[in-house]
Parts: sequence; structure tokens; C-alpha cells
Amino acid sequence: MQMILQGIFTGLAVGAIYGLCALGFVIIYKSTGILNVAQGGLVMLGSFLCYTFSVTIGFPMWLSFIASVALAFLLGMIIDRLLFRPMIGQPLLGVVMMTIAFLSIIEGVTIFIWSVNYYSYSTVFPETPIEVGGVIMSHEYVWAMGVCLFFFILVGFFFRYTRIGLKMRAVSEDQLAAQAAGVGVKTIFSLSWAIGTAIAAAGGIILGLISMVYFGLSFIGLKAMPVVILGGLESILGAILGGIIIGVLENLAGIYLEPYLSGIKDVAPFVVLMIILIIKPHGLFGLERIERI
Amino acid sequence: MELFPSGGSRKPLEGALLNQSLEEVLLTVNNIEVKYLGVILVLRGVYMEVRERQIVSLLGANGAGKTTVLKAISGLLKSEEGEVTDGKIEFLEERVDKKNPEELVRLGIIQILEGRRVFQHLTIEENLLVGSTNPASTKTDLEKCYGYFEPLKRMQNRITGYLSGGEQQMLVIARALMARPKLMLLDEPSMGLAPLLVQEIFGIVSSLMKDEDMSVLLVEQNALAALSIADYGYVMESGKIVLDGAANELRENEDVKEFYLGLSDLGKRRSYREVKHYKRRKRWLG
Ligand SMILES: Nc1ncnc2c1ncn2[C@@H]1O[C@H](COP(=O)(O)OP(=O)(O)OP(=O)(O)O)[C@@H](O)[C@H]1O
Ligand SMILES: [Mg+2]
Repeated sequence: MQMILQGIFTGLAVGAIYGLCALGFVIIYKSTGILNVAQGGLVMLGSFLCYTFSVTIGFPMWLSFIASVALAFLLGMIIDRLLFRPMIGQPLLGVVMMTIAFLSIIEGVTIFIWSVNYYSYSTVFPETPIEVGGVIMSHEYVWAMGVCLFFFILVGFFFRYTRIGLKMRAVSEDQLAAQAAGVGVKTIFSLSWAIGTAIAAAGGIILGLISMVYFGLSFIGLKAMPVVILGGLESILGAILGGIIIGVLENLAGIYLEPYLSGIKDVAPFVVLMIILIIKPHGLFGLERIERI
Repeated sequence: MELFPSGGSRKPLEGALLNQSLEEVLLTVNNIEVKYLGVILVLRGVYMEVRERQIVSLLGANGAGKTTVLKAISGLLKSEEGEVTDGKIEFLEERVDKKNPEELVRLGIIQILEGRRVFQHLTIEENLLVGSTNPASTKTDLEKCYGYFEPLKRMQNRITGYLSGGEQQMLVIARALMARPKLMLLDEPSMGLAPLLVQEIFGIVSSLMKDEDMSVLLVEQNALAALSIADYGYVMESGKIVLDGAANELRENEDVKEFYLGLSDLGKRRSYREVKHYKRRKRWLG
């Protein structure tokens, strides 16, 4: 019992981070229609930025976090302006190739600046974990969950209650109709990239906090893919819940099945993904087009 | 076969000069040529004039280029790889053919796309809010919309994907109204709606014109209905204006009657509707 609770707790924390990474991906996909393969790269980049602010420059952790996320926000706007705006209206394949090229540039630059070493932030949290009912929770994990939750609420509020969030939803549903209604689609694209990149960076920083800051975060960031498909490509709630489901499953599989089937930890999420897609091809919360005329 | 052989040689703007309303000129389309993808020539020398507080209807068969004219005016052409390659469009004496849709909506031109494109997963109220361009007046504008389109108010928190066709058509008109337009470009609002509903919607459009000081450029297949509320009309055929005149004159015009309205008297039309319809299409496309 203890073990299962522990597994669920760890899974929730890790899953929340997956959810956050997936959220960034979904926000970009929803409004621009671009499947951003480089999302993992942006996640990794976020962790390195924060490392630079906190260790190299010596900012306190909270300030480093804010500075990195803000910088990523700007970077997102630049990415949109330089790489993707010229490609509006181009075939999907070309655009996806662009994101692949962009990924390898991020990875190249990261290796060039930081090389392939492992880094960690200077410890900011107390060593002694919190214990609740026999479940041991390290401060890092609790904070990770807290920050993810904060972002989920912020993004939910933004899309639900702000004008610009509403316009982003309109663009994601019908770009031409939104344009006809006077919505500035280019501004919306720019903002989506900015928010998507900022969220990726936040996810990366938290990942760096509970593991290490290293090159491999790019691949963990790519977990966003199955998460996103599980949740349904256009669904924000789906991204969040998908992340949590995959995090928990992965952890439980790691605890209970790993001794018998080594490697199952990484495969389990994909098995679940396949089963869900067979039953619900649009993902758990994906939008089915309403057919009515 | 050209339906109105004289149409091609007609002097530009001569027709528009016939539009002798006392109102100020709002929009002039001066001999525009439109190409898609830089090569596909779709409009050739299209001219048109819309005055203030006027309903002008643009008629023509499928593929004549009606929607393209509207998109040229609203700036949406650019997102479809189309371009005005010759001629000019002026709105309130300002050249507008190079402006983007966002700027044009602010200037007062709004297009309502064919096919009732509501944002399906948003509620009625959210759809209307997307159309609002001025945060300060959003509340009054919403009330105004609900005033004109009462059925919408009752369902303001409903997702719009499941609304009936008529309700969706009302919603897209109301959404455009939120931007306080001076010129509404309305593309085939009657498509697939029952005659009674068409009448209701056209009635609302008429009163919008009068009470909101708005002009309407109405594209329609349903020529009879369109000419009954319009002040003036233009007829297009394969990318050109072939005929224009006051709406009541067009309705009486023998060519329009026979070839376009497809009727010499109503009774006959009903029984031969399908046949006539087919014939009409063939003629117009020929
Ligand atoms: N994006 C585009 N690219 C290339 N050609 C186009 C494009 N849009 C329209 N066309 C062509 O331009 C011509 C006019 O089309 P348009 O949609 O303006 O006609 P329409 O009069 O509105 O027809 P309908 O009554 O069927 O709506 C057609 O031959 C069409 O194939
Ligand atoms: Mg059309």
C-alpha cells in the first residue's frame, strides 16, 4: 500500500511536468496548426537558461526561473517571426521539416555553449523530505507539482476569461472566419509561440530541478508527443490529464513490472496510448468536428 | 455563349453612374482584376459602387466570381494567395486594396463568409465577443445584437456547433455587427434555409441598414429574394459584370427574368423548378 501511494505521488509529480510540456506543444498546435517537433529542445533550453542565470550569474532561484521563462517568451516571438511566419500557407511537410531543422540547431547550440555535461542548480530546498502518511515527498517534487498547478490554472484562466485567449480559441477553430471577424491572426500566432515556448522552458526548469540539467532533457521533453496524442491534439485539459496519466502509469509500471520485464517502464505509456487510440481515435478529450448543416 | 454580349464592351463605371442615389458614395470598385496564385485570372474589370444606407446585391451563377469580389474588398484574398493585380478599391475616398482584413474591419468593412462559419466549440456569447473590436462598448453592442436577433439571447451560453442553420446565420451576422461596420459584405445568407427564415433574416438586414446606418453588399443565388430588398444590383458572369441597374428595373428586365430568375410566371416555375434550374446553370456556365 505504502509502495503504491509512493508510486502514485512520484507519478503525479512527473506526470504534471509531462503535462506542462505537452501544454506548450498543444498551445502552439492549436492556433498555428504546426506540429512542433522541437518542443523537447525548447524544454531542454529552458533548463540550461535557468542554470546560467542561477549558477553562472548567481541570481536567486526564483528570479532565475522568472528570467528564463520571460526570455523564452521573447524567444518564442522571435522564432515565430523569423522561422514560421514566412512559412504561413506552405505545405505541412515543409513546416514540420522546419521544426526538425530548428531542433537540431537548438541541440547544436546547446552542445556548443554548455557541452554534454550534467549540471545541477545550487540546492535551494531543504534536504529532509516531507512525510505524509508514510509517503516521502521531497521538496523538489512538491514544488514541481505546485508550479505545474499554477501554470495549469493560469493558462486555463487565460483561455477562458480573457479577450485575447478567446480570440486564440477562435483562431484555432477557424482561421479564416476569425480573420474575417477582425482578429489579427499574426499577433495570435506570435503570442502562441511565445506562450508555448515559455511553458516549455518552465517545464524544462522543473525537470532540471528533480533530475539534472543535461542534454537528455530534450528527449524527456519529447514525451509531450504521446501525452498530447493521448489527451487529444487540441485539448488543453487533455494535455494536462494525459501527462498525469502517463506519469503515474510509467511509475507504477516501473515499480511493479520492471523486475519481471526490464524496460517496461518506458514502453507502458505507449501501450496505453495504442489501446486508447484504438478505442478513441481523437484521444481522450480531442475535438470531433461537429457535423451539422 | 455570352448571355449579354454587350456586357463585355460596356464602358467601365458607366453602369455605376446609373446608381443615382442621393447618398454619399461609400465604396467604389474601379475595374479590378484579380488573380489567384499569380496566374489564375478570376476577375476582369469588375466595377461597382455602394452608397451609404444602401443594399446592393451581386448576382451570378456558381463560379462567376462573386465571393472573390467580396474577398477583394475585405482583404481576405491575401490569405488565399489571391491579389488585386489591376484597378483599385476605394472606401470613403481612401485606397484600401492593399490593406489587410484586420485594418479593414477597423475602417468599417466586414465580410460574412459563406457557409455560416460559427466557432463551433464556443458559446453564442463567446462568438459575439470575438467579433467585438472595441472593449469599451462591448456590453451595449451585445445588447444591440440580442435586440435584433432575439433567439440568440435565450441561448447565449450554448455551444454553437449544434444550432440550426438559421440560428447560425443569425449568429454570424450578429458577430459582424459587433464590429460596428459601415459596410457589411454578406455572402449567400439564404443558402439552405427555408423561405420563411430567409424572409426573416432579410427583414433584419433591411432594418440594420436603416437603423445602424449601414450598407450591405449582398451576394445571392436567390435572385428574387435579393432583388426584393436591394436598391441596386449587379449581375456577374465568368469574372465580369454583365449587367447592372436599379433593383426594380433588374427584376423587370426580360433577360434577367428569363435567364436568371428562371421564370416568366411563378406558377410555372414551381412545377418545372428542377428542369429550369438545370437549364439556367448550363446557360450561365456556357
Ligand atoms: N483560392 C483559390 N485559388 C484558385 N482559384 C480560386 C480560388 N478561389 C476561387 N477560385 C476560382 O475562382 C472562380 C470564382 O470563384 P468564386 O468563389 O469567387 O465564385 P462564386 O461566384 O462565389 O461561386 P459560388 O456561387 O459557387 O460561391 C472559380 O472558378 C474558382 O474556381
Ligand atoms: Mg461564392
